[in-house]
Amino acid sequence: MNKRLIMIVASVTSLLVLCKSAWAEGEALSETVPTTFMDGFSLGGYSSATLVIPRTRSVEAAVDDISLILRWENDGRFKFFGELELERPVTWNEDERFSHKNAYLDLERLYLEYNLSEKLNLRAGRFLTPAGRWNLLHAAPLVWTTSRPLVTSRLFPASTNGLMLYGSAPMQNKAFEYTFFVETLKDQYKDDYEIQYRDVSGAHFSLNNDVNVGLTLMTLRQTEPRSPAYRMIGLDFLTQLDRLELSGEGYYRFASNGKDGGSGAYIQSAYHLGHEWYGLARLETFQSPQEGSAERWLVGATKRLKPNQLLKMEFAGGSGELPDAPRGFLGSFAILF
Amino acid sequence: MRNFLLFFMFTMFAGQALAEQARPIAVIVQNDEDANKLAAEDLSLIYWRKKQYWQGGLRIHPVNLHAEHPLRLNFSKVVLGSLPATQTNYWNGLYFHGTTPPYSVQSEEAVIRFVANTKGAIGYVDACKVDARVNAVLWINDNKLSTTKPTLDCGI
Repeated sequence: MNKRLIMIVASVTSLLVLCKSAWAEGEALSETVPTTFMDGFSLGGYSSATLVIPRTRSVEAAVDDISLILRWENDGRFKFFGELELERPVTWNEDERFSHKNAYLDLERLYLEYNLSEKLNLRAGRFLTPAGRWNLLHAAPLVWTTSRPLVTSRLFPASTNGLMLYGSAPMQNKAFEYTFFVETLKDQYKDDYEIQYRDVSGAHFSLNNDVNVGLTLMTLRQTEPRSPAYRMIGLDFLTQLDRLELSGEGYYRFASNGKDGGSGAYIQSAYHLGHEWYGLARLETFQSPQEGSAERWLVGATKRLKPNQLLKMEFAGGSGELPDAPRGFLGSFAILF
Repeated sequence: MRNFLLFFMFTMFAGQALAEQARPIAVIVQNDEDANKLAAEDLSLIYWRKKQYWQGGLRIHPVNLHAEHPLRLNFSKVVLGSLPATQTNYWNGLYFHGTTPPYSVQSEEAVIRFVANTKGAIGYVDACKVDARVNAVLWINDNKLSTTKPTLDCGI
């Protein structure tokens, strides 16, 4: 495992050194359009490192993820996209010191896309489940906080293997976006805390303008025997009011057996304090039949060091103990490349 | 005398800047059949990279002027409703999904060349600088997007 891990880290580092990053607001890509097959490839990714000082557990630091994104497109209607993630390659805690026993490789996304018409695209493969906003933009350099709202990861699967139809259309100076998807292949097993789902299908609609609002509709079932089928409805929004960004998501699941299916919501504000510092506050509530209920509050500050780099610090509190939502101090550095 | 000269120079520069700002912007495409059918409401979708193909299946290649260019600021405000500096989160998010921002070039001449030489390309320049290499399909005048060519006073 040691040698394999070293090889993976060395390979990732070599690729980063050798490949020109596709990031940088398009400036680096200017005036050239792919003409040969090889020209169509570009490589990017992101990485993050965290420090967690929880109230009830030992201090832990970790390189959380090193993610590589490979995409291909040319002038045709096909596109390819893949994301391979090395999760928790190095962790440190007070008891075990440095360790990489929690490291694993995860194929986050792998799909082919075909443009069917001006307003419709077909995607086939493994993709992020189109539910709300956070799940689709969950990478550390894209979100203001180190911790993730519980409701965005526990009530539905983060990824789906299947087919997706999506597109957008203009609607009175707004963009109306629509996505329909269905699972066709069973999900892979990742870690002990992950809830496994099957028979997942649904749709997401959003209207994007000054206030971006979205509606998620989904049917799903947990893989464990005798799990009821769920129907889920979700609402999400994001708006900018001068220096204040407000966002939120809420979900409610109806169980086919008439019992409680689970629900949750969060609301978050990010206020631009100046000099690329952002003050953060978040309130969230979560409740599920399997995991009980939890409330969380969060205050923190994030500094945008560069357009692709975030330094985050936050304090989280509230009720209920859940493995993915520690209470205490969380800090992290995240970079998109 | 020195004060008069300074005032004169200031007036000249201010006048030029105002004229620059007031001049209509033309949205240009190649002399291509699909692109010439562009609807005004599709322009923001194209520049947000939500719409990536012309009707016939040809890939759209939008091109921007660099982020501080006055024409880019005006275009961005009218068409996208925000300035480039506030769009970082959006483009980072799209990049995460494999879509890069529009190409970016330094001058209006570079925009015209890019559009003239790239199939499926779309760009924007000062309406007075449009020439036979490209075709203007939409115009931005008085902060409004229109399919009608405004009266141009290119003599300033």
